[in-house]
Amino acid sequence: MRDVAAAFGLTIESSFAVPGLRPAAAGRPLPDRRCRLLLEDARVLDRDWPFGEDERVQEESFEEDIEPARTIDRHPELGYRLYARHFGLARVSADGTEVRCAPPEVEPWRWQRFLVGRILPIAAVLQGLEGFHASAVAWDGRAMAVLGPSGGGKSSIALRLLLRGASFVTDDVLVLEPGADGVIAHAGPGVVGVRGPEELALGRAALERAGRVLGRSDKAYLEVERASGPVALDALYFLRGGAVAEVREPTQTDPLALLASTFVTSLWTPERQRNHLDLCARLASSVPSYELIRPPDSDADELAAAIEAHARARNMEAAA
Amino acid sequence: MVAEGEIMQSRLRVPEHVVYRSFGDETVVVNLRSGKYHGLNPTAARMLDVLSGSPTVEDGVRDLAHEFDVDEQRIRSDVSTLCQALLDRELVELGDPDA
Repeated sequence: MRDVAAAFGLTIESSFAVPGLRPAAAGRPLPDRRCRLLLEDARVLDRDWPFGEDERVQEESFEEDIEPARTIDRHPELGYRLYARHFGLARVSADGTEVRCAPPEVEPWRWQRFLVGRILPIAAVLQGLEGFHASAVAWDGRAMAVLGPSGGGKSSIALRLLLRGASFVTDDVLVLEPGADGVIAHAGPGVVGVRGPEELALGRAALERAGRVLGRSDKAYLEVERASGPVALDALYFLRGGAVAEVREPTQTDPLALLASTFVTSLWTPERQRNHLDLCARLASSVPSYELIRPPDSDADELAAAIEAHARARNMEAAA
Repeated sequence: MVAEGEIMQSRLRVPEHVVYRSFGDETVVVNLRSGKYHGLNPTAARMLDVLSGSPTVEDGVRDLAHEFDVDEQRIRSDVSTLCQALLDRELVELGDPDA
């Protein structure tokens, strides 16, 4: 194995370099859950896959598609076979401890978005962790997560918070597990997707201060420094529409909003559903949740400023 | 549809394929067989708690009437409606009180 790094609560042993997964420093504790990443030829990956005995658990097509653009197939013993057009093919073992990738001939950062954004979260869930659709940063060793729909501005807010001095925890997929007193957030790979308008609003200097541009497709992909280990989750911010950029305290956590924020929707077993419900109930009882009001014309920095001010006020209250 | 009399004389049990957890005021019940989620308001959640810990549903009705300080007949009707709804969704089972 070439590199060993931690992400999504897994110790990832990889035979190839992955952007955002810098090798862990010597002597740093690594998660007990392990996952090996290997490169493989697509024909080899499909050689022993029992087509016809598998079950299609997810299929996505875009307009005018004849063939599905993304599929996930499951076999009870062999695990999962994931295909994504332009990103290649991958197999994840049933226990989530091995991932074999057959990428197309493109730059590694392009197909590895599939690895980081789709495949590794599945491996984490198969190993008993839970993934939520959220971005997160940490201040003073306490993580705060922003939850909301795709395109809602989670990544931009996380990036702006990073520029305001927070540690980056994750973009788009937040992997959690119950801790002794609350909930533990695991850092994801240090890569953030920045949409065109946000890249323009940030400007080149700020972008370079935040990290290194890996490449561009529909977004600019930025490699950033990330939190060095698991962090206690301290707050959930749910993005909502409204007139003024601010943080509001809801009367209580909305169970539907929490339950619907799950990231990996393609593999539901009774055991996972029970764990997911337990974790959501733990979140509701132990992690305060707030509404982050986003006016239609607001920019990400206004929202980041609102979170920063709120977090600092909470820290002062806790210290008093 | 189960007759109210039969419901009252039975023991109400939450089967192993059903889990429920509190989210503050709301309780979420999941049927792990169907994968479906259901929500209970605080009153229904309290009823489920009391009924599933009582020897019979009728015993639970008496305890609930005392706890909520309402007429037994009225709460019996509410409990019967709730039990029927939970039975329809396979979220509870009725059993022999002596079993």
